[in-house]
Amino acid sequence: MHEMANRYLEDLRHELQRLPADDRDDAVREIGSHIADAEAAGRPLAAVLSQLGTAKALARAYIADAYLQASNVRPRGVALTRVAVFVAGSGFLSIIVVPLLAVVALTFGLTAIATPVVGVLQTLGFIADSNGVMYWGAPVAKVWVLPLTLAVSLVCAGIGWGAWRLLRSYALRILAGYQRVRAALVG
Amino acid sequence: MKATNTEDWITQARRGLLEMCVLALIAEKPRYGYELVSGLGRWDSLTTTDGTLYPLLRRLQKEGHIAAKWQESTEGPPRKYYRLTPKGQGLLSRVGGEWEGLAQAVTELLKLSQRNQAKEKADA
Repeated sequence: MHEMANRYLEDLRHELQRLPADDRDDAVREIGSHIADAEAAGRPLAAVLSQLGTAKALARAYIADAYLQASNVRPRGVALTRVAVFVAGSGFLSIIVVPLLAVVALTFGLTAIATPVVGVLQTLGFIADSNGVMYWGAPVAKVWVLPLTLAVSLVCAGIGWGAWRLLRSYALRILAGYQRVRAALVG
Repeated sequence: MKATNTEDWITQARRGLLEMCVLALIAEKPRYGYELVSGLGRWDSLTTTDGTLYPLLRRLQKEGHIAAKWQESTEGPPRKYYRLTPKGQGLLSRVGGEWEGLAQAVTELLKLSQRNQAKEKADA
């Protein structure tokens, strides 16, 4: 039983590497004292350890609170790598995603507007070539032109609007991510 | 503060109030960690994982609201006792005052809403 407790404390000491040595020793000592008190009060060791949480989670809580208090804990290794990956990844992704979505939204949106206009003009006879009105290589009776163009317009509007919504939510997500980056570096 | 469901809300609310409750317990008399665990354990609504308490104590100590001293114990390993500092006393009285104002407002609002809900049920 004592071995389980000692192992927990050793794990905790290892996970608390990022704290200054004094703080780390003190924390490990205090948790050891807590375990002893809890066992003396009759609580089973397994329950005590589960109430404390895993050594990793407990250490994270210590470190997070240390950040909160902006002490001499410096961001290291894993945290910085994660930040760098996010910034690089999001930057690269944005180069592809943003223009793509923006172009789709714009072109489909403009098409949605232009198509009915063309349809009206065709119905009124202002636009036609020698074969009459053609859509996708087949002649179309004038009476169908306007409904057809309206249908096309709706579809394009849907696609354009969808692309716009996607772009917007992507941008918001990225912004939120950068805010977290800022908090992690400044905090 | 993001709360997507009841559990989340309760956890967040408890976390916010835990600091005040811990300070209040320490104000009563100097206490060590496990004593605080038992002290809080008297109320079901204040149950929290022990893993939340100790980092909180460390932070309060670093912020200067509580001061700590290790003391030998006849019953086992030495214990880390905490007592309130003047800064901590100031924080507790300010936060306590805020809390009473908040508690009153929330209680009255809930009472109003319950009265409305009962009225709607009667009218239906």
